Amino acid sequence: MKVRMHQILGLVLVLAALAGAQAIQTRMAPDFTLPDMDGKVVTLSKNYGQGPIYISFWATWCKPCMEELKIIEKIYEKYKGQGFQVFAINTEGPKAAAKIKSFVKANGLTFKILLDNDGEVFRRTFKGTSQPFTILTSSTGKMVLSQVGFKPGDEIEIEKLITSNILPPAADSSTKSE
Amino acid sequence: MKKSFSGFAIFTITTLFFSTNIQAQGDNWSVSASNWMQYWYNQAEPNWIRNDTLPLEKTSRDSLDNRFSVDFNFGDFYAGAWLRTFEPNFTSSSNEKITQRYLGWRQDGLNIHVGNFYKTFDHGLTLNAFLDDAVYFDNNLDGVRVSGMYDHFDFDALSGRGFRFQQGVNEFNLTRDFTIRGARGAVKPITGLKFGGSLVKFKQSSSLQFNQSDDINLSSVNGGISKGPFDIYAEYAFKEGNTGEEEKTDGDGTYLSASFSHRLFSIYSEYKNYYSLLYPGPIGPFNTPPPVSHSGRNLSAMAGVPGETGYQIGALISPNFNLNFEVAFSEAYSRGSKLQYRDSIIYRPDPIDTSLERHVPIGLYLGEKYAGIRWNATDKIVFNAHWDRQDYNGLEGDEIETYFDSYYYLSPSQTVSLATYQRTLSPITGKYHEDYLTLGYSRNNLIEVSIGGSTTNKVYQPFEKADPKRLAFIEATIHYKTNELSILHGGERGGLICSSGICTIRPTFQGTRVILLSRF
Repeated sequence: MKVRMHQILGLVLVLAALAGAQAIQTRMAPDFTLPDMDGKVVTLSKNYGQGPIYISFWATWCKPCMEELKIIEKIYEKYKGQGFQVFAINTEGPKAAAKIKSFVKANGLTFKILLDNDGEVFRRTFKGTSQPFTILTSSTGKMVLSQVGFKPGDEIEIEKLITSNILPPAADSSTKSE
Repeated sequence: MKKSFSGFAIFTITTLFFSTNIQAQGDNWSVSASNWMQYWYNQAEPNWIRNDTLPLEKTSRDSLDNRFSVDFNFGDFYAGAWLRTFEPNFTSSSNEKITQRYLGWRQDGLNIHVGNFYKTFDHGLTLNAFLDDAVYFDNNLDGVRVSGMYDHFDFDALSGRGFRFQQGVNEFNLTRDFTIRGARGAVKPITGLKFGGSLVKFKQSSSLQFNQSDDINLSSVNGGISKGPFDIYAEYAFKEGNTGEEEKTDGDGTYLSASFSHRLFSIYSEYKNYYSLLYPGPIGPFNTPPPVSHSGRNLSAMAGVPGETGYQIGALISPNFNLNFEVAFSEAYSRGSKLQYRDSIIYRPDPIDTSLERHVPIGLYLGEKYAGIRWNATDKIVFNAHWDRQDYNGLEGDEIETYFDSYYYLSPSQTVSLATYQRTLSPITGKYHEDYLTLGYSRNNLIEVSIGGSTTNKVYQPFEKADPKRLAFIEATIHYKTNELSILHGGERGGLICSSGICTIRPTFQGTRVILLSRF
């Protein structure tokens, strides 16, 4: 075990050091295309330019996800007029398909719900391991938050990041043309 | 172990020090990586190890499971690999391997992918290759997949090789004996209307797996409409196949769902009916219809039956944004007498004349009743509670779970929480219950601390050694930038876990567990 363990550590350390040496502040969120509950196709990169985008991977069995989505709904209501968008991506696949729409409506969630039926976007594109898993991007697609888990109280920091990435009204139209 | 633990400590500190929300990237390229390490140290010899029956097996008190993944992106092209190091308690099973590698190209909804992948065709009646860590399930395919997703149509075509999931056997020891080729497509002429179909051809190269489907062709048709509050979906699949002994194994399956969704209340319902549809067999198949139960349990996963028929109906009621109720009821019955796994036949005394010593096999039944509530009583306090009763006439017997949790805001960024639940089981060995209590504190997504414990009314012995009646633990989780470190010390009770239509038994753990998740 020890030899293999050290090999892993070596590889990880080299990558971490490489990333540190580059000293780049933020990175672009990987792009994806997923259907919403009505079958309409949504591509992340086509939604840049309006404001920050909150991406949350969730499941109906996940209680912290439910708490997060309820709280984010309140924040969404507050800032959606300023370009803030939320993509809540359900990862359960067909096993929850019958109840997702009921679940969303009954809980009063009004933002966009996307379906990652085989988990490829969650597992491979975003390297998700557990839920809730949250990404917040700036209006240009740079990741400003990447967080696993959600505890009540987290919304304070999240709201600060959202407000700091909302485009000023004058800059709105110019950024849309990027 | 001391050396590897010191290595782990160095790794932890260095990762936390170096990594921020950063990655190596240029204008048109980027590199990203993640590492998920789980380390367990057992205070005593793990209770599922049986040295008497495995005298030659060397065991260790500690175990490690590390998954490292790296991705390179260059414009629309991407490539990646997953490296897994697995050092279980049985040291002879240790392994390190690149478990997945892939490359591909994606643009405007079109994706060409070569290497390992997951794919679910529609509602999974003809193909459902997926990963679920909760039940250690992974039936990924290795081959080529072409997918397109557009507003008025979508399609997938694939060819790959897969291994069959086997309980207790890790993926390193499995060979990819199965070839799967398939295609699916759907058209969406107007918003909310969709119909399509799929074809899958399956071939296994191992002639030793008797009584399992050998060469198989599956086809399915489906259609759905989503209009206003109504949502209706139907899918029918047909399987033509034979075993290696030229015995026919034809089967079919139907899945229906309908829901009505409104802000104040929603109703959903599901129905399934299939027989001999799962391939190559009912345990760990490459296709799985939805489980049609609130808990995710189904008879095929629990008892290996070749078919079942069942339904679920549920309702969600929301008088206002801060109050939610959910109720669900489901029933499922096994189908067919030709069970492929003899252990799954349940024998009971003759129901007509109980004085007879003759025992007869019975069909299996699984019913579930669920009721839950979430109440955001004030701005500062939230309550969650549910009651879940499962009636099962198999060996594990009935189960009732009563759960309550609540959290309270001490300040806008600090909360305290309490969770308590009781799980009552009625296996054939007699009534048994577990009681749990956990208290927690969290601060601003920086740190969470919880203490808790569980007691039981009597000793439970699902494995060779009995689980203790009392267990206690303390757990701390620290979030720092894109890293999460969680350390648990104490005991965590195991049990039957079902997810995605797959069930597994997780053993009780006593010792120290460290989980580190890093992304850079």
